[in-house]
Amino acid sequence: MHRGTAVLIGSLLLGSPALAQTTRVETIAGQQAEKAKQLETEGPSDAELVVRRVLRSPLLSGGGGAYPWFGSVFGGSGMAVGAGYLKRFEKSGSVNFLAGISINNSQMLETRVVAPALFRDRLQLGAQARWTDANGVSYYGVGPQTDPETDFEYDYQPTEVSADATFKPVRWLAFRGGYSFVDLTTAVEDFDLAALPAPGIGRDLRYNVLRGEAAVDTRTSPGYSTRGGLYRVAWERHEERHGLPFSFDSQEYEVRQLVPLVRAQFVVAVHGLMTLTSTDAGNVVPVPLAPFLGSGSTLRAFPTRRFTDRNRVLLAGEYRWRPSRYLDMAVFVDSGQVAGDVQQFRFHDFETNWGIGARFHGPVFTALRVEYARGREGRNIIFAGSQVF
Amino acid sequence: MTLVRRRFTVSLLAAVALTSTASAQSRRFFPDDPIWREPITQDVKHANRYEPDLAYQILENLFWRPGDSATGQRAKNINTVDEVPDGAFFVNRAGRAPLTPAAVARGANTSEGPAAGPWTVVSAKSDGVTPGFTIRDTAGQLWFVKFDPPGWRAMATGSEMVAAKLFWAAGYHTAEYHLAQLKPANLVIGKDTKITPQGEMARSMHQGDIAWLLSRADRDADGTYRVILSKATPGRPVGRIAFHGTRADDPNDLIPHEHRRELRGYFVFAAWLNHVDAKGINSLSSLVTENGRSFIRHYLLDFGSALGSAAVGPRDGWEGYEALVEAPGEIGKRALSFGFRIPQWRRQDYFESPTIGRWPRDHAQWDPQTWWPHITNAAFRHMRADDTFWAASKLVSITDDMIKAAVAEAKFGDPASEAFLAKAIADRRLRILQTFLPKVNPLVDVALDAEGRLTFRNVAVDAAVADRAPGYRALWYTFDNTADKATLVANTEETQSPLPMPPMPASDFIKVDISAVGGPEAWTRPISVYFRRNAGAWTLVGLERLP
Repeated sequence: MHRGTAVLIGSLLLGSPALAQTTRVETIAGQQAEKAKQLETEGPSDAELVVRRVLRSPLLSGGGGAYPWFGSVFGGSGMAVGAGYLKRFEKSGSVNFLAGISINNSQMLETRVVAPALFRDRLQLGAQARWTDANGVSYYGVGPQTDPETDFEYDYQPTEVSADATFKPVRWLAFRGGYSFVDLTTAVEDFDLAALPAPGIGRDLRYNVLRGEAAVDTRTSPGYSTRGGLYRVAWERHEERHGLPFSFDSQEYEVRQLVPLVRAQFVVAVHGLMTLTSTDAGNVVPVPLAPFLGSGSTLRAFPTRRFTDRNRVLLAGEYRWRPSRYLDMAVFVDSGQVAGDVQQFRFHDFETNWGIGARFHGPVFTALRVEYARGREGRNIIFAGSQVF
Repeated sequence: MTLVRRRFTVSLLAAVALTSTASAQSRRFFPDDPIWREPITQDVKHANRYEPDLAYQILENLFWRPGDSATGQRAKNINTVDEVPDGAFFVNRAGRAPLTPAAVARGANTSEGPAAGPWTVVSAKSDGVTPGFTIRDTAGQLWFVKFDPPGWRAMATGSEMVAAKLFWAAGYHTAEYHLAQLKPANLVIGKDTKITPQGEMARSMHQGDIAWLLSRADRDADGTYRVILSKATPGRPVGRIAFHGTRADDPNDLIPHEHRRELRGYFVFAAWLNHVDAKGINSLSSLVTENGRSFIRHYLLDFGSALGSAAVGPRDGWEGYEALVEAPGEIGKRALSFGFRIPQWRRQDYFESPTIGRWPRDHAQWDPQTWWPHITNAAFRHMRADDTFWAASKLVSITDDMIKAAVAEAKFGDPASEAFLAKAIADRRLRILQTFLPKVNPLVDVALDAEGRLTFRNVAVDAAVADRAPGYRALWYTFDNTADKATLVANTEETQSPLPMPPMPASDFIKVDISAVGGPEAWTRPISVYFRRNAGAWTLVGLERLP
């Protein structure tokens, strides 16, 4: 028992002056006089001090600093953990270092520098260097009719140094451009590549990559939104620096549309994605860089990179409902196909899957997406830290 | 001292002291009962400024519910006639002091606003999304300056003005508020003024910071900005209102705050004005010195998230209907319903205008019992029907004309929206009266006159929110104040007030239990009133109204 409390109780029971008062005011005055003898400093509890320490750490308070990281090193490599260090500057400038390792021992190191925004926050310049060592990347062959039992895994080690610029004349319109130098190596063990042709696998390739993109984005946030849309056109040129026959162009067209109903109690979300590649004469698209379907965001019931070819089309639709402001539920259907030529797309041959999922989110970000998807080849449970579209 | 220890100590202090009053002295009423002013007998000498952490407040109220765990207890700071004495948190105005529309419009104001001349910026609010300055006028007075968000001229500033006036009328201590047009050229940066941009170190403020802060405010066509100025409250800030426990450094603060009726009843007033941000951080505890005594007074501040305003934009539909985090059971039901369990706030129609923000169009069916602040607190959790009755009975005295006067002070410049807002506030007031007045036995103004007639009013009937009871029954007792013992003498029954006093043995005190015969079940539970004979006249000294 607190010492002051014991003293007080004792004094009251033994007939303190408080008991001898004859008016209400005198009685209360006596109690106040007793409390005046045992005053203490007003301040935070121990629990509050702990919470303050955690929440006011530099990173959580927006100031930067060291932070833990959870995510993915490379698609299909499983959950990863890591650590980063972020230093912020004025006008959205920052430097970020990040290192991570996944459950299949894939690793990555990344540094990104973002310069302070220019021209009233309309122009942002950035540079990045990233090294990845991805283990066990799956390959099932090229084309839509590959056998799920005939596959192999390869190790993939790209190193990329890039610079980019984003110009946003208005909030919803962005033009992006950039250059990358990419050095990628792949290795495969104990597999006869003649049995399953795999362009680019086992080769050391170096690329100059130019890219450009225009996007109209009317969503409230890329990380989470219940309305608006994203309409994006992107182009990339991969030029093999040593003249190896793996140079190609790619174009990507994407539409994401969110339609809120009943004051966003329901959201109908649709996603269309088309990626087309074209090669220089005698060149091919290397497998690691080729469009694919099958992942936590494309044909979700299928293994990562289940279908690979020069072109892909993905259509997805979701019916979302919102039990909470922090939880969305969804049922979804994905449908898509890869093809060697645009003319070969056949809608009735599209692979299709369905599923149900829960998304835990804040106003502008998605913290966790948990989904169950089922398709022709089986089922898949997805854990992801981002919105699917 | 931790909050837990402080709560334990002070609860024990209050409990032991009150018990000693009844048992050791065996006296229910003191000669000075009922008191109408909470005694302040000790100087506060060493009050430490303690700014509670908002995130912690949210977490503790969400997960471990601070304060006395035993709910259902009667408020402990009321006087013997069931009323809240004037004190550090509250002053009786509505229902006790003469209140006029003009008085409500004036509110806490004692001046005409900042002195003429330039405003010297002494600090700026650089975090968050709404800008704000602290300025010093040429008379040396500090003022806090707040703006409207772009595109919502008058919404945040006007809502704050209306709510401040009406909270003042209800009886709470509020700051002095004025509207003004700010010319940027009238701002002068103080030579020692610092700013801490988000994610940066503190540095000297410069004109670019002013321009950046103003860029986030609504700007009039002539380049000026509509602002609301709140005058710095007297004294030295020492923290914020805590809704549980007591201040460890305030000897006058004896009653755990969750057991203070005015803090429990704050829920009703906050619901009335949709002050969803009714949390401790939007208050101020100030160490003041008056009449040679230093004590802590507690103010309500920052009403920008009230009515149809969410300060940074119009109010979201859920605000006022759900807490910041919804009940887990409700989330589960909605998850399983595939979205077809649609909350009311998504289905109803809204009135929206740039001047007042967004609010449901129809308040005539609003249920104040379903209102939720962003974050609840211990005082709200301890609220009982007699507390909500107390608050509702205050609202009886706040008339539609007073509401219109408060709305007019906001100068929305939009007659249609002003009319809607005044009607909405009046409709919500009526719904509170309809909901909370009949929930207990609503007899007030009980008196025993020289002719031996027991008179009273049924405030629910007088407010036209309930039908008249078929009759009233009175059980008459002699009462021995020194032994705290009542002896039944007779009972009487009439269809309405007054009830005649039966022949009674000589006694200095009389107790009467008054209940309705018929009517709502709650009315059949008696209120107990106590009268003391003073020079041949009977004076009300006690009233118990239990839910």
